[in-house]
Amino acid sequence: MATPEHICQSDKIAAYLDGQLDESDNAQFEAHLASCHPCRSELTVQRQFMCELDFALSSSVDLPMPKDFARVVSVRAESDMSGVREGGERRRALLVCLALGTASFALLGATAGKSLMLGVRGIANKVVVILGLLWTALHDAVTGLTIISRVLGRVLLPKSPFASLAALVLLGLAVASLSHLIVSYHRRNQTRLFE
Amino acid sequence: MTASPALWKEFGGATDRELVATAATGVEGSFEELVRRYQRPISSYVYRMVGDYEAALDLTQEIFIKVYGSLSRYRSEFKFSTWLYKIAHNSAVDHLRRNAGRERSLMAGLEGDQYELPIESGSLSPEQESERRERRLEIEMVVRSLPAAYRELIALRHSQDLTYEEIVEVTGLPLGTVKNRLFRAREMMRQQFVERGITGI
Repeated sequence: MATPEHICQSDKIAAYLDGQLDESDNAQFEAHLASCHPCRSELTVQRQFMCELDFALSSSVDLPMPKDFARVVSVRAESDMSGVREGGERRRALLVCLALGTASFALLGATAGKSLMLGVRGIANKVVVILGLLWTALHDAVTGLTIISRVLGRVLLPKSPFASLAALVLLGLAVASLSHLIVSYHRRNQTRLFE
Repeated sequence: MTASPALWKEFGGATDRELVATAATGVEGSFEELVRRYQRPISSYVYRMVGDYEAALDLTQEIFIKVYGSLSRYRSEFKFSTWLYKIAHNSAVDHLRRNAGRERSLMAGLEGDQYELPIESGSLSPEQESERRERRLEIEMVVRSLPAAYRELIALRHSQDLTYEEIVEVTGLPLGTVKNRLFRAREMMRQQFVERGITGI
């Protein structure tokens, strides 16, 4: 049996008003009410308060809805792609997506293979072109030098065969004296070292 | 089981469950009828939660689109309205979480110019009517000053008229918590009414 202090609780009154007490609690509480004046007056206050709340907040108080709100919303909902309805439909969509995905991956793979080969070939081609260019430059430089030396030789040397012979002899002498000079220079250095 | 839409005279006689079943199979107009039935309670519930008219309308639209997308997941052993409120609850909570920073400004603007919920005029005299209007506005304001967790329960219980069991279903809170919070919310409101000098409560 509950004590009066236990029963005299405003949350119990609220539960009673909300119809949240079970049958035995309900009977017990009503019996208590008959003999407890504070609880009775509290009950009256709470009941009045709840009536006021219900009245003030009842759903007859509504927001004004824009015209055709229901139509606009339902059309939007029905055209929303996430609203694919049946499980079967969704599974079919998933299968189609998977098939398309696989196909596109396969195609991508094939294209990637081709493009890889194309890339290697492209690099090789470029290397060949660069090497060719270097070769041409070297060749041109050598040719140019030859031409310049020829031209210079023609200008410097008179046309007579004797003069050219004399020039050759002079060149030979110069080369010989140069080598002699170099050899003597080294010898002098060596003797200096041993002194 | 699905009845023939032809017998419903433009869906008016169809139950929610029947409308859900036909909407899920794509019968034109049945989802629109569901929206029409619930747009007002859902939008006013959402408005109580978020406190902004435009945001409430946007959210209401979002909720119905979500509902349409999950029609196939609806199990007919549950009440459609409870299921709908559950989706609305989740959306509103998400919205509040996203805009957590703005909650304070909402509270600060309580006394300012906000949207006034229209009041159904019965057979009251103009004086009585204006008195009622004032009383209602005061109560609305007190509701809005409650923390969101309490405000929602008050809205579900007193505005949407849901039972405790339905509130448990919608919010996912244990029954004890629902009872406790509702009790505390009412106590807070009574306290505020006293502070504001609202008489007759």
